[in-house]
Amino acid sequence: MKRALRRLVDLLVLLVSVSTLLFFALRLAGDPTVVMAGSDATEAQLAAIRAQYGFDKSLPEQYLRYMASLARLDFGASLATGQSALGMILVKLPATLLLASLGFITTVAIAFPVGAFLGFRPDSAGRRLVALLVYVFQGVPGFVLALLLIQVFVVQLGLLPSFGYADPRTWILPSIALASFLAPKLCRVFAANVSEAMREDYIRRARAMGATPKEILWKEALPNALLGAASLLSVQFATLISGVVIIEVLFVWPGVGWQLLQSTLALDFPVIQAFAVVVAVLVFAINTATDLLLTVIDPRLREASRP
Amino acid sequence: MSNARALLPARWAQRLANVELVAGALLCSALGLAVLFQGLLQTHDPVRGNIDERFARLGANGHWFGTDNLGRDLWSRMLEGLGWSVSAALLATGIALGIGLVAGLIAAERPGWTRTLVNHLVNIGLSLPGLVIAMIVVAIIGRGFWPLTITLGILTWPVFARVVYGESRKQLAMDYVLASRLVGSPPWRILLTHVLPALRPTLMVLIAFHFADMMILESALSFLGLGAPLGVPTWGNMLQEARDFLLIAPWLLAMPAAGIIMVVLAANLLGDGIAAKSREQARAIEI
Amino acid sequence: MGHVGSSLIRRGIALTALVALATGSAAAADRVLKVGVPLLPPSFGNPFTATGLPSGQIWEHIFDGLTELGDDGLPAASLAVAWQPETPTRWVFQLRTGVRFANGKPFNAAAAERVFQWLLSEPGRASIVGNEIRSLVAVHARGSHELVLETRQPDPILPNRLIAVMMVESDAWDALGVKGFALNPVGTGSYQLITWQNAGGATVLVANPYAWQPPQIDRVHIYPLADHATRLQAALSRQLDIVGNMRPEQLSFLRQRGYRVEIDPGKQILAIGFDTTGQPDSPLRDRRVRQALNLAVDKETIARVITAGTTRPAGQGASPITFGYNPDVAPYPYDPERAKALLAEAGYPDGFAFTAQVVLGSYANDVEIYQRVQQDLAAVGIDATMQSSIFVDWLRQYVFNEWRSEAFSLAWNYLPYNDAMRPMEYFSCAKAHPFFCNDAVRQGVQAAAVEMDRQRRAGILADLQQVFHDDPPCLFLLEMGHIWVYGEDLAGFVLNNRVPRLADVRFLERPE
Repeated sequence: MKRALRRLVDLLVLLVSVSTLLFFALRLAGDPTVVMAGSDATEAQLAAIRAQYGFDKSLPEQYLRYMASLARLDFGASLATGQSALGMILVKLPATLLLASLGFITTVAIAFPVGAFLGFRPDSAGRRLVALLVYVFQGVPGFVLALLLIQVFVVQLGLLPSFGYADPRTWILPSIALASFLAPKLCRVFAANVSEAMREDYIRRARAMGATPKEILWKEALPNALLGAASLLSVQFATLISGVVIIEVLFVWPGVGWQLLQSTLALDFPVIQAFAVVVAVLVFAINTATDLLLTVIDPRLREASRP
Repeated sequence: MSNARALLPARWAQRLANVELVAGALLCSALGLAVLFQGLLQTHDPVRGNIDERFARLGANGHWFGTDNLGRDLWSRMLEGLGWSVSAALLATGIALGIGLVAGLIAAERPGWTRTLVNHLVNIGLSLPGLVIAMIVVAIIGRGFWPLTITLGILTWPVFARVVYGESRKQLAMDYVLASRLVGSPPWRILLTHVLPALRPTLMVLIAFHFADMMILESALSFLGLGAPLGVPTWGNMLQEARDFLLIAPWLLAMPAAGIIMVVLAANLLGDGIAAKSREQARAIEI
Repeated sequence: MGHVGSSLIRRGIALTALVALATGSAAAADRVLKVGVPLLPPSFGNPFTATGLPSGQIWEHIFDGLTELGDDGLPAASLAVAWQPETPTRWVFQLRTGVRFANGKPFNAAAAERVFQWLLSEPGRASIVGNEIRSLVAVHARGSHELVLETRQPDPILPNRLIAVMMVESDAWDALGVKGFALNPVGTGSYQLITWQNAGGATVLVANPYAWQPPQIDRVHIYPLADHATRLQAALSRQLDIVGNMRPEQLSFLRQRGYRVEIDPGKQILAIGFDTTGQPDSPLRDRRVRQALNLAVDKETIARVITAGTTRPAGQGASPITFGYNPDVAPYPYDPERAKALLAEAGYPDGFAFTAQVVLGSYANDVEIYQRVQQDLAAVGIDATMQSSIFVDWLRQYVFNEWRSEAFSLAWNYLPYNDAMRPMEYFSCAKAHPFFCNDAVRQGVQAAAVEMDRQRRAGILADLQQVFHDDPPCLFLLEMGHIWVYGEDLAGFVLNNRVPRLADVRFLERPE
């Protein structure tokens, strides 16, 4: 509980500093009014917009107003669309959560069986081949794999759709591509955990008492290895978010990552700000939740996972 | 990952470690040589092309890897991109290492608010999605070699700081360090003479992996249009440009993709090889 | 296991076939038209915040203006059926009868007057469309279907300007407010908008039940696909019926996969603009240097090789379809020798260096075109750096003419007016912060702005094209149109004002 509180303080510090940085970055990037008025803008138009958005006030005053409205969770209107910045992010959040979940499930669905296979089977040709494959895949950046998947399954074969997210068929390629960010690493960690768990003393004892290796794998080694892998996933959640952003861009997945790239290229700061806060809260929530869950399940981790 | 090898018989483990190390070292030195002798290896001007030779196939007219949409030689561009990306990734790694090392050592040596501050920063930094933050920063300060490398370096130093901190704390608690403290050695000398050398193997491994990560981040950012300036033939830019010509010239996608995969694999092999080797040595010393 | 699996699959196939048989005919009638475009209007359904693309991609289907752009390039009847100036500053528009908005409310002179009253109000004046019709001073309904518009000075192209003024339903506009209306727009167009983003990421249009031009297909999904690559991929995997803004290189592959190609005639002109007012030491201030640059670039080759023959070299401010085009002004020929001679005459025998800030990715092939321009200029000794710039940054410098470089990418079109005067205003001292000033241009623009006689006006504008050509404010590059592709199983595909007329599109019964 105390750790959760400490993290909450971390989160608040993070949010305040990110917001402050973004505020000054916005000023650094220059006068945003031109974007809103268009290429044929007159001085009168520009002045009206400046007054409307409060850009004509002094910098400290603008900053205070900005922080005050942030405290009310008011990120202001998007410079590009005039709609609520937070609304624009929240509307696209479900799509992102769907993609993240799909990616997570695929990661686990690939990594655990393969990892268990690698960690459990004795040294064999098949095992080494799989290990080599996993090793090579660890060197393939997710977005490169995504490009290759699109090239083969969409462009050459015309088998699968390349965009959209309403139809489950559109989920296949993004899920696989996203899984490639974490699956190989998780696979190796899981394999190591399983093989280590298989050697631990109590498993040796179970073995001596007549349990078959398979029983040991299912009842003892796997649950232990799972715990270790789960904490890795929690730590790597940020990687997953990075992956989600680039996969969304590649597959035109209508989520927050796609929105972030559009807003970033247009320097639409209110939306970037809203995105930063939403993601920070998300990362915090996931990390804290997994942490609490793990410590409840396995007391040993209370020591081990402390930074 | 560190103990992935634990499941192997010792004899196998040793041989595999050697294979990794040798393969990684060979690949890395080949790539290093390619960077050094880039000019000699290039057969054409990587930036200027002959528009009448656009989309030449592999091997056509002396273009080993074919040409792109402007008739530029892909082989020469691959080499140019390798140099750019490797330098960017190395520098970013260097910056991250520099900051991370200093921050980690200071935090290990000085309890109190300094340590708390560094640890908080490290925790925050590790929980942030690096690509996303880099996207925003580069969008604001602009694309280019220096903005990109500095951004990546500053964003990723916590990776080093955490490891340096952990290892240094371990070293600082050792008897011989305590002994030299009692003798009156100043803290900086202890850090330099005792702690730093002990960190070396760990850092070498970390550098190799971090370099691979930086390669990936750089190419991903360039790919998104938020990394290298346009027109610079980095692999990320080339991948982005290739997407428009997927059917007419698929090699434009295949070559940079293969290049990135090769460099990342080489760095991973080297890192794993060094890690395994140093463990072997450590074991040998213990025995 | 194997048997169970295969029999399951067989049963699945049989079931699917049955379902397909049962729903086959219904499916054809319910088929959704899927359209891929680069971008949705950033301001959604508030049609007063922009005039060109990407906004037209949606607005053209849900709104109508009093006039629209006809196939001959002149204003044609839309919600107004006829118009004429009563005096040089007073126009009378006869409105179409029996038209209703998508919410059932009638469209008449009173409804139109409310739209113009808003545009004359303070927030309306500040909007981009309000700014376009700033010559307007008063508006009133005369009877139920006659609208009177008064202008400050004679405005010969008022009917052209009105192409961009969409008729919104004012009760909804007032009730929802600007932001609310933007999300739930109500117009008289063939379609009405259901949602900006459905679960599949599409903007959904359905037939407007009160449409005066009812569409053939009831439901349209419009997908914003920003990258050309994603549009290409979507087309190649046959996920879309109509795709906009394609590149020319791979059209043959698209034809193989069942698409037809259509290039819109509303040409865009691509150029590199010169800042001749803000840079005191720039060699580009010298007219001979600007001419030399125009001579040094091989536009024919660029058009033929890079854009695969889908563009033409440009040499004046207007394109052939535009009112005011001068057919006697030919593009600058490719003549590097004369370019070198002119440079030597201007005092730069060894050339010079300059930087151009270019916004990339706005037009198909722009990256290749700029790089090829760079190569051609290098051949006459000019070292041009093409610095990529983001649009926001470009725009800021353009509006205030505070350029950090001697040159910049510049593209313009005549839409929605299709009248050559508009760009000339902005490429002259008439712009608030001009980058180019030529007295002859200014006088010509001023004369054309108030000349009510069409013949004389065409003459003034044509003369201006000659001036524009001889004293070039830019390096003229290409006239380019947008490339659209559409499925072979569609009929009635026609481009109007750069956007397909979706209402006329229908599916063929037997797609072969």
